[in-house]
Amino acid sequence: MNGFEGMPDGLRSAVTSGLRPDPRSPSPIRPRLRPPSARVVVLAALAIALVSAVPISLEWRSDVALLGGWRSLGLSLLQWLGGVSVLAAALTEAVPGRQLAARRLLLLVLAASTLFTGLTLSTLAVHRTLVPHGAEAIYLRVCLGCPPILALPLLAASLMLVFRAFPVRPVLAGTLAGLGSGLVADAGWRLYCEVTEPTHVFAVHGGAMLLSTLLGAALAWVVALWRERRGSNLSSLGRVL
Amino acid sequence: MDDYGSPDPDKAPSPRPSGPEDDTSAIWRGLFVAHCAGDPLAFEQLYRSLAPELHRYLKALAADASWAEELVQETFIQLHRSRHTFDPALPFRPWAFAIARYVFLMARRARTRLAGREVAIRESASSLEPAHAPEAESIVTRRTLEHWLARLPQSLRLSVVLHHLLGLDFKQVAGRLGISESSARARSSRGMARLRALAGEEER
Repeated sequence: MNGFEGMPDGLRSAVTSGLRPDPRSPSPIRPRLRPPSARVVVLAALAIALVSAVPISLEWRSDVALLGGWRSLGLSLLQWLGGVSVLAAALTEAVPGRQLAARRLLLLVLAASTLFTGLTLSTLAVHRTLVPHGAEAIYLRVCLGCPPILALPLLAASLMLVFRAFPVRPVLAGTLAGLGSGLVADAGWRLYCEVTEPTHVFAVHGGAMLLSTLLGAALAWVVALWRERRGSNLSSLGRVL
Repeated sequence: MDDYGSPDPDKAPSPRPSGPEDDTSAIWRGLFVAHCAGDPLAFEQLYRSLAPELHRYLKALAADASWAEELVQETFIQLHRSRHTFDPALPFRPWAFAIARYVFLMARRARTRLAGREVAIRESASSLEPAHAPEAESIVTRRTLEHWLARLPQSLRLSVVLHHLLGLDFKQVAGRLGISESSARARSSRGMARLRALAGEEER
């Protein structure tokens, strides 16, 4: 015998009112969330548009012919794939019961870092380009500020999909969404910025990715807080506390 | 990192099974799928079967049996609300217990926030001249009133004190507590009803 033999009336009415037939749909079942692998397709399409928008709307890097197809476009597509994989991980993390284990998270971050480092060194091996003397501040401002702004639409779309599920660790899911968006934005940016000097790439381009990651975490925190406060007003939590 | 992002800060037992789905979880899954398909009795059966286990888990997290009971109700509401995220092909237990843990973290944060507000309100109350307190004190002593107020749940107590004792209007109460105006009105009204009931009990 336990104290949970009968469902409290308040809970029963909350549940049955939720099952009231929707006039738009004859079934009381809400549409089931598609699996993360299916939902990420939308983000992948947006991501490929983002990567191609940078060189098309700005200009291709000046050494694109020297680098060849693989080291310019090919490696950017590889980085795009890496970014989309991180976004898929964010969508998986957002589904209750499917949170990523610490080891998998660590592997993901390590893989993203290795990919970024490998791409940078691979490009550097063919052509070394330095930041023009006297233009350091401009390069710093542009390469640090623009990619996170470019990543914003993808980040917003990712966070929308993350919160359409029920992330039980929203900041972590947002961090992953930010990292994925940052990787994708950098995949496009490297088709525009011709500087291959490692200090610039690691500090400035890496810093831009870090900014996107932090932005993702901060936005997710804000949304989660809003959802939590709204939820505490709507549900019995307010009454309980 | 705060509660939102912390991987596993508590020492509560892990609800995640190490192997394939156990029989109980499979039964819960069947009941939940039936509930989603519109079976009105399935959720009731699920409640009877799952609530005790959820209560044990939440009690281990909250270290408070009566609070854990309230959290169980809240968890069931959240299970129902987020049913669109449940994939019937996957085990039920990790999904349900992940939501339960989130409900606990959310409630703990709300509790901490409210406690902070109560301290701030007490401090401001001590420096303010009570608006309606003399009337109240003409009927009951201040000590009795404090005794009754202490027996109200925190959320109701705050609304009653702010509106009826400090004279704030409902818009101001809502602003102070971070809730909607209608919630402030409802809480204050429920709080007064409880106070009247307490007064009635004492008279008898």
